[in-house]
Amino acid sequence: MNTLVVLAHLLHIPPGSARPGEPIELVAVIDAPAAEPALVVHWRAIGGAIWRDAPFERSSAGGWYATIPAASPPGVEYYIGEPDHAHFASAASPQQITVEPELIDRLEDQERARTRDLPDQVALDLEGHDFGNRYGHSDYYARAELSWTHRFLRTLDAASFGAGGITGRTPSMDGADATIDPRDARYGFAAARLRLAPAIFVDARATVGVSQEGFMKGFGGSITLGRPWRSNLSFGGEALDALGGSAFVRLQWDTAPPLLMGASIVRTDLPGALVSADGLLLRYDVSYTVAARFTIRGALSYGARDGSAHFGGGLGTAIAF
Amino acid sequence: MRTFFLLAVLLLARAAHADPTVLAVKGDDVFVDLGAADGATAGAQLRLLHVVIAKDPTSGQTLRDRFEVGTLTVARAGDHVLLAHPEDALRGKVVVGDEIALASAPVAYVDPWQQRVAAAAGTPAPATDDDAARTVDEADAARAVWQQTLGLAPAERIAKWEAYLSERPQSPYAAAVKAELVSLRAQAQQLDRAATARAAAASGSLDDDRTHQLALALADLIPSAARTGPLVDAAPTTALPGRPITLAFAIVSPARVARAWLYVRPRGKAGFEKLELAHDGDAYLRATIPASLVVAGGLEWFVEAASAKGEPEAVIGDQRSPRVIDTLEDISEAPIASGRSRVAARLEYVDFDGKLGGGHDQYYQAEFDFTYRFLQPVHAIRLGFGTLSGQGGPKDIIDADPTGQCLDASGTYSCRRVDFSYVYTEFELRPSKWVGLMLRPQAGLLTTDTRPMSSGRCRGGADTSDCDFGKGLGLRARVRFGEEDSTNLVLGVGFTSGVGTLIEALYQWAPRPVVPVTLAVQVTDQPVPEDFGVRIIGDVGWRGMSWVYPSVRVSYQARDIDHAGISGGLGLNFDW
Repeated sequence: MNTLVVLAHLLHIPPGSARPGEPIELVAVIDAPAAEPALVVHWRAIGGAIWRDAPFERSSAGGWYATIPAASPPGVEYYIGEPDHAHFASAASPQQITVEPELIDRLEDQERARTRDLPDQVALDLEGHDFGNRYGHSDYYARAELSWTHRFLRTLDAASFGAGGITGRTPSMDGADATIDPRDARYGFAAARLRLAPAIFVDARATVGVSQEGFMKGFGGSITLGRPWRSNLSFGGEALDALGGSAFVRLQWDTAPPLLMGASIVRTDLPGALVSADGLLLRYDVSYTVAARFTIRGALSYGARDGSAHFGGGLGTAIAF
Repeated sequence: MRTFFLLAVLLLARAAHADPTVLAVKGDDVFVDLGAADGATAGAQLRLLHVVIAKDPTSGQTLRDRFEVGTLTVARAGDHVLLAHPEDALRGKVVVGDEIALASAPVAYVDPWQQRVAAAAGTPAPATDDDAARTVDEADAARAVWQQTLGLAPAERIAKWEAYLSERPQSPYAAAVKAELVSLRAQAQQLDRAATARAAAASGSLDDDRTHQLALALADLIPSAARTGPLVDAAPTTALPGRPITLAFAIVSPARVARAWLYVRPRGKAGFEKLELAHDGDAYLRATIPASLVVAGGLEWFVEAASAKGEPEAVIGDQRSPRVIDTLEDISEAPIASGRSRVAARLEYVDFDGKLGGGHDQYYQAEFDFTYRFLQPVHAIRLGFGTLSGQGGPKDIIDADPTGQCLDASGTYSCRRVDFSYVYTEFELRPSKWVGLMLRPQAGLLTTDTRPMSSGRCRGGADTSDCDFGKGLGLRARVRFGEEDSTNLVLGVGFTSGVGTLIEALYQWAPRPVVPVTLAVQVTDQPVPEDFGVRIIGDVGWRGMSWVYPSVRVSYQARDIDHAGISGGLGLNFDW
């Protein structure tokens, strides 16, 4: 008769996966347990160096239980027994229990790595457009915003808070006799960005402030199909009480790194145009990450409202920390 | 074992409080429940008494008497148990239960430890009632455990004694119990070894019956383990693409699993890849699905097993209904791909009556657009801005007016000038590699000037009399046969309110890699919806650099044989 190496006999169902943050319980039945007073699960994080032990303990219910503490992705690997006395797997060839992270956790890790764990950003943006006017009247606006954005990197991807101002002029009426109305606003805003799917982002924004007509409120929003830092298509709009509404569709492409380019079609009433609601412009913008924390932006726009098209543009910068 | 037996008889003796008896005999060693506390010390003489118990046949009473049969000499004495050796004549005749009497005079016993304690304290150390009570309590507790172990398997007895030690680590019997545990474990090991050997001998192979019994026990604990097949598993149902998957199966019927194979394939693919499962440990099979098979869309698998002499049979899933592991959504960001974007600018002058600036049927059109090819779910999206500016009218009036002022027979000016500034978004779908569908809605500001001899007056001037301002809405649909960057044919039709209709066919190819060529035929009534004409266009580019190429366009167009002209245009394309 051959020498029998294995004395106790252990049967369990090797779990293939586990949920993150939950202990992993191994349930086994063992015969001849007295042959091995110490039946132990040896485990470690996948790819880890240090093995830890979790003893099998007998339950009054009849089975033997060993608990591996809650694991984080990518999981743990384990074996049962000793090198010369293996019940299941071995130190050289352990069995893996994968712990798959939730999608949002994976996205957070990915984005945290991409942003070098710099969750905050302060940005200053200036933009404006001169629509011109067939009667030679002024019809333009300039807008400046200073914002602070914090990335949560979860479904609530980011929240922003900031302040801005709009200064503009627009004819009070059609025709050569129109006067030029000043259109100004000073406001603060709060915004949130939701990540509804890996490549679908929704932005919402609420604005309160004052304009030449008194208290001003506004709302805005946009949907981005694609990641905001990669090629994407976005569309959205904004409505400000006294300064009118805007809508845009924007295409962004990342094919010329380190430049990130975008083209937008913008239909806007800024700065509260009265003569025509057909202000339409094409904007081309490009951003360049000068350093890991520092980005600059520029934009050039071309469009008209009443009369021949004119140019506009913008500049911006952002610092992450 | 010996220690255990000693402990047991000791406890019995303490519990009985009867005459001293022989507790155990092992060779010449005779253990008696007398001790130094009873006045028996080393060298003392003991009398061995055989007890006779008989029943009186007349009265029916039970009679009991004792007879001295020899002496024993105390070799060592504990407090309550001593070891004695029988005289030669008694060897082999002493049995457990024989009664003992102290033959020597009792010797007063003084505990040297207590003596030292008392000396240190300066007072005698009398035995207190508490000491006595504690001693009795420990003995009772040990006896209770011992009684519980009667009839139990070694493993269960081990568990009880371990529990006792855990509760009473300071027990005076701790050392004896520990020794007993060592003995019990050795017994258990021997029994297990014997059981294993029996099972293995009975099955002739891997201990099938033993494993089967374990499987039944496991099924009591885990209902999902109660399967009829020879394998049970808890394989993952999801996995990350590109990462290997290790699968393990518990064997619950080893006789049916001499060999086993895992069949796996990416979901929807033809043909399974066959991987042999390796036996592992007590009763397991293991295999690793290579990362190359763990692709987006998931994978399908099943297991076949065969007994030593049997044919393979599906034991988990099968070819027709395999098990599935879904792969988690791949969130990795693809590297930046070149050739996905294009910025294009085109400027074209179209002269239908051949009179250039002196005619009444010309227009120019400029478009500037940005394209990005997402590939999925929309192949490409194009945003653009364009302007079309020109004049047109009924060709018969234009051609018939000898003054060249587009006046009809009544002298009324019949032409119009249009300025159309528009934006558009084009979506391209690619239902197959060879077919592209493009849909382009467009909208813009349309200015129509019906005053003769004006040029751009309505578009930007202050004089807006005879100017009509409106919106021009349009839609263009195209279909492309062939690949975008190779030889292809594009058929399209478009319409814009107030501007006209355009029907076109374009044939694009590159006779040389650096020379992209487009030939086109258009049917259109632009720039104003009046008479249709035909345009024949040739466009030749020069792709000297990979990221930019200019092109030149020449066209011939006519609304009739006498109403025709030649013109051209330029293009500039940037590809990243």
